[in-house]
Amino acid sequence: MRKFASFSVVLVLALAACGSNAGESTTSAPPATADVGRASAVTPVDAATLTAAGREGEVLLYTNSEDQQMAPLVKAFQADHPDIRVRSLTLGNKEMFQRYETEVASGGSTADVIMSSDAVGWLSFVRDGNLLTYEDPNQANLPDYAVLAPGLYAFSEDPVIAVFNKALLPEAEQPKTMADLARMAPKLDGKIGTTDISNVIQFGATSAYLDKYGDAGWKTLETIGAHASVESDNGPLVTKLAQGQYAAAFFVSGNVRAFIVDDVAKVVNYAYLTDGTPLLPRGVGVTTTAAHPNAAKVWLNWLLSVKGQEAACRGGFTPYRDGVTCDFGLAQVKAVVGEDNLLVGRYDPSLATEGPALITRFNKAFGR
Amino acid sequence: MPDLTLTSLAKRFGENTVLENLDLHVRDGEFFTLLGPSGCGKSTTLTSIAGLHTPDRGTIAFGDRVVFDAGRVDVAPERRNCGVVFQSYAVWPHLSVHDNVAYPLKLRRVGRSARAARVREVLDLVELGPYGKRYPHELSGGQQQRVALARALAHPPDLLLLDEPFSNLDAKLRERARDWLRRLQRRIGVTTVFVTHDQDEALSMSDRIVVLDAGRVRQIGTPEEIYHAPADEFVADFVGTVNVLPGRAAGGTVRLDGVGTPLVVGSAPDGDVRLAIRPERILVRSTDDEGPNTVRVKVRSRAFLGDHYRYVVGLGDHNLVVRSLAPVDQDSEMIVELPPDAIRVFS
Amino acid sequence: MSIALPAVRRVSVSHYAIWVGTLVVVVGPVVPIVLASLWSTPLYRSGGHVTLANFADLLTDPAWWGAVGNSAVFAALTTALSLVLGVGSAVLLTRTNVPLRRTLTGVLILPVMLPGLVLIVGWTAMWAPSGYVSSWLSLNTFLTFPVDLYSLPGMALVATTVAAPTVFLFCRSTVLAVDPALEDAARSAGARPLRALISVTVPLLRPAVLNSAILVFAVSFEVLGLPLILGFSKDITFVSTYLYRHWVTASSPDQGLVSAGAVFLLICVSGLLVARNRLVGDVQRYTTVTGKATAPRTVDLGRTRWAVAAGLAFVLGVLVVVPLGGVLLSAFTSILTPLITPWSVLTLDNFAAIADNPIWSESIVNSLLVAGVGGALATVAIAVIAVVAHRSEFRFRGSLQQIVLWPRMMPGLVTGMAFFWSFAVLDPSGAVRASLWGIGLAFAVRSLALGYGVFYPALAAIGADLDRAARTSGATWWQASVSVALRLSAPAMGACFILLFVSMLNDSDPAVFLVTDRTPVMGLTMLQLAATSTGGAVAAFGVVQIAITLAVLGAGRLFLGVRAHA
Repeated sequence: MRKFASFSVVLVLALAACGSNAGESTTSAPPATADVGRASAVTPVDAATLTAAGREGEVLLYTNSEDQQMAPLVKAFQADHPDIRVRSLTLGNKEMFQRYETEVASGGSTADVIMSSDAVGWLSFVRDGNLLTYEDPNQANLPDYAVLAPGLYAFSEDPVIAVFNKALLPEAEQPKTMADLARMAPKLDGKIGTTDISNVIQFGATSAYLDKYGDAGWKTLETIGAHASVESDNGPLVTKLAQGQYAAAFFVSGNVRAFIVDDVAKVVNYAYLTDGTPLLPRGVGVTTTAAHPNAAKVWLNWLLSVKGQEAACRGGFTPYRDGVTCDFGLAQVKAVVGEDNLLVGRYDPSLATEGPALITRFNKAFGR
Repeated sequence: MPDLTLTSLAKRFGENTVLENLDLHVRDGEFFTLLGPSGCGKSTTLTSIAGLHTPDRGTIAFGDRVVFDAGRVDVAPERRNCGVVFQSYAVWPHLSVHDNVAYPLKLRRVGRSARAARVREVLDLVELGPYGKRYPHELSGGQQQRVALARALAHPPDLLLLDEPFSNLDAKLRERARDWLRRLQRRIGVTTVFVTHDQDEALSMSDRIVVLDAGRVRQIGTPEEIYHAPADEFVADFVGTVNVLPGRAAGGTVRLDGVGTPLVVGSAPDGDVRLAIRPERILVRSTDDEGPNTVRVKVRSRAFLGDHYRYVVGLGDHNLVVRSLAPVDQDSEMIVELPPDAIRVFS
Repeated sequence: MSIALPAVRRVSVSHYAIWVGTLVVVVGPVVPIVLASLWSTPLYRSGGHVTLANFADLLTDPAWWGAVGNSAVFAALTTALSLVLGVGSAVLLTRTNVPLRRTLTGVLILPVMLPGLVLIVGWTAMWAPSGYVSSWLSLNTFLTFPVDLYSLPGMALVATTVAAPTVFLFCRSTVLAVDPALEDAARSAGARPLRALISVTVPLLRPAVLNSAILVFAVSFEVLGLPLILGFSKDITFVSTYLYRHWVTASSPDQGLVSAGAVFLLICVSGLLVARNRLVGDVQRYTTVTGKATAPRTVDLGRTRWAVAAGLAFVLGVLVVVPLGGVLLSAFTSILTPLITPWSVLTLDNFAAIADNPIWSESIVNSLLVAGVGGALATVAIAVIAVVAHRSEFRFRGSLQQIVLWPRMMPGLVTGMAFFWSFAVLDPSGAVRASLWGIGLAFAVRSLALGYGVFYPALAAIGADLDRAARTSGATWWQASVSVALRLSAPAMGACFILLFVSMLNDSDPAVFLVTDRTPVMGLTMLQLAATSTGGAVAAFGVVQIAITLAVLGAGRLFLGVRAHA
């Protein structure tokens, strides 16, 4: 650890001396050459719903995505449906469901559509009968994994990624798998970071990872955990990584990919670890108390359509439908990790039942 | 102008009695002074009249208008129509002299021109005519005090209440202000209640004085009555200077410790008594057989005060202050007479 | 013509109205929290029963007591540090001839204008173990930054940057108002000038010091951003992060436990208030402080003044200038890391992003409305409450000055939830909650303590005879209060408004629950950005905010700088 610190200091000197030359020759994103397949036919809502939606005039969305991510989507939808105004409110994953319940209980107006990555939150939301169960016309053309529950669809399959500080860990030395990272962990003692298990991304990624690798996966995590630190969210994690506090971070939200361009890419790069890139569904569904149910259905239908998926790419989401070309798309991940290693998360009820045990063991592994 | 009647006014703060069944009557147009040491309840009485303080019991009436009757009536200060001058003057620093004086008139919705005329009139009355545009911090203490007075007189008030208004002025200014205020009050004829702890002020200005001590009335009377015929030793001692001598009375004479001949006094109940005599009433004699109560004493100290000498002489075991024009050397003997009619006996 | 007026004065009706209004706004939102703490299910679910299980769970959880311990140590450390710096500066920078007084004062106060989040960005960029300046120091000099930013003392240093100016502002007005005659008396008794200053003026600061100490302690106790960002990786849990973890990030939110925790904090703040009243004792002892406009004399420190100035400049340089430099660098670079020279990555992208995103620019407008209009209304409310509490005969006036401090110790998230519920009950139409008034009210209630603390010493300094003179001139209680007491305390109202403006512009936590798609505010936008992205955008927001605040201050000096004739 001491030795490593002085190493980084030397690097600081070197880099400060040669200015911005640090990472000119490297590309940060895997090449966009994946086969994206062919788009299926458009499957819109029926005319009656569309007319009713126009009369409703607006739809209120609670989303866990930031405003700048939602903006391209809203803009594209507005172009197709000028008579339906999308009101989008960014909330935390957990606040969203609590807020919905509170608003319903107090009789206030609430969301028509909810978008969240919180699997456990969704499970109890569905169990309590808050989700409108109906079949969207797109469903027939969606892959199985995108249908999370009746009426609940994955809008984006967000991968978690590994992020590295190139100055501390040159690309040639970077691990390609979780197992590599575990082997390097003693050398990188204290220089590995990830987010806390209370973070829904971490929870989703860890459970999907363990779902596939079981005890071997636990062993890997425990090896890494002994040399790693945990941050509350992706923001502090990536900030510290860029500063040089961490050399490597794993199970980082894929949203970060959008920031790793230009100058930032001189210091930081990211990778899809072959065995460590779970894709987490960002669920979207219509609520039972929706004040604008038809507009909600039109909005959901559009989000799942190829056109919606293309707009999603522009917002930094991870579209998964065939025929959508996107640098951040699911096909890109598949091309890197291989079809066999593709790990797509599900909203399995066992997540809720086995969650507490998983959280306890994770915390123990990471010394908390 | 109405008269002012206080009936059985009482106030306690916890264990501490501030006013105890105070009965007062202030006549129409009178200059009435509340005199007493600090903590005697005089300011509490004044603020109770103004409505700034709520007594526990009793009534206050202006004429036949009851403004306070404990538990039943409590007219707000702004509706009592008093003019008050505070010890601190309480001249508003953010308003000009003119605006300070105009404030009560504005509240009474007096029209602009009438208001301006009245402000001019009152400012002339307090001799501040040219100072209307000035701000308080540009005035001297005496001028500020007159602004406060002008403000108190502006509306005009039914009753003028003055709370130690001269205590922040220097001695010379204070004496001038006294005469000036007295003349002003006579001219306007406003019923005035004046609070002071300064006996000179009280004696020189008042029509009548009430001496208060620990919330109780000791004496009410004209300045002469208070000075020459104090009701008790407290009044005698508080107003002016007095020699107090303990002794034993028997059959119209009083025997003092260490003095051979008993002193003749008017009438006194037998037993332990205290004699009071003012220094200026003690006569310095050249022979010791001119009248009763003539004794030889030793001059212990002598001070020259310009218009008189002040001697401290030994009378028996006691010191006696004597005031006289006659020069007598220190440490020599002096013959003094204590006229029986100048001696007051308190039991 | 005996006029018998009712014994009960009419003015007390309006006093009761103000008292009840204050209670509803301040204590009202506490009611749902207390209910939730005693109820077995979340309030938004049906069913449930009265229970003490929430308190039992809380009080038997060793993690809770660990968090209470950490928070207490942190709050005590922050309070101690900011008292030393704040009181020291208040005395040295206002009453002695230390050179560069104005500049030092300006630098000291600067961090008040920034939300905690932005300061954290600056501190992390510069003083974190891998930060710019700490790396440079250990590389080029034999010096190292002695405090680990990711520890309790490190976090206390960051908090001190914000808390010390608050203490300074609380104490400064008292220092200025101390009657020079009091010091003269000490000097004539043989004390040297500095000795007189220390032995007379400093003890007179006790009420101001205690008031600011209790406020700093309460605020430090509930602070969330610091432990969440700086303390997390070292697993340092505070009361706020404990509650946050059991509520917002828990797999099943435990509203009962969180409410029990909030009630626990309210009991603590009540205890602090009782302690404060004991320690201050008879307030009359300190009323030798008058409102007279006598210019305080400057104490000559002789040659030591240069040493004092250098010492202060050094401390402020470390605590304020360097972190603020970090904010600026973060705002104007695409990535700030010691691994790249910052001038190679200079950019305006962070600002362009704010300008381009309609929601971000909307949140700036909303925040300005909340802070401007809300701050002005809250200032008026504080002035009215203070006048009733300190200059009336109103029966419950004493309770008013106590309850204004109360809401500040509730974690902001819980305050948000509390208001959410209160709005749901009191305003079923949802109109208040859907408008900026909802968030504005919650922010204002949280800021009451701060504004009150700044305003009421000025009010106390205005002699009571001035109002009484107005009463006897024929003014009603209200007329007298408005035309005399409030008019004369107008400069203090200006200062109060500026502090409220800044604090409401910064506030964020209550908005987490109260925000709607139509009411985004800057603080919350920053909070969301800080959670998911690197510091650049947050820092850019911070720079925009400083610019806005400086503009408001400049305007304030223009409009309010006209001093009353006093």
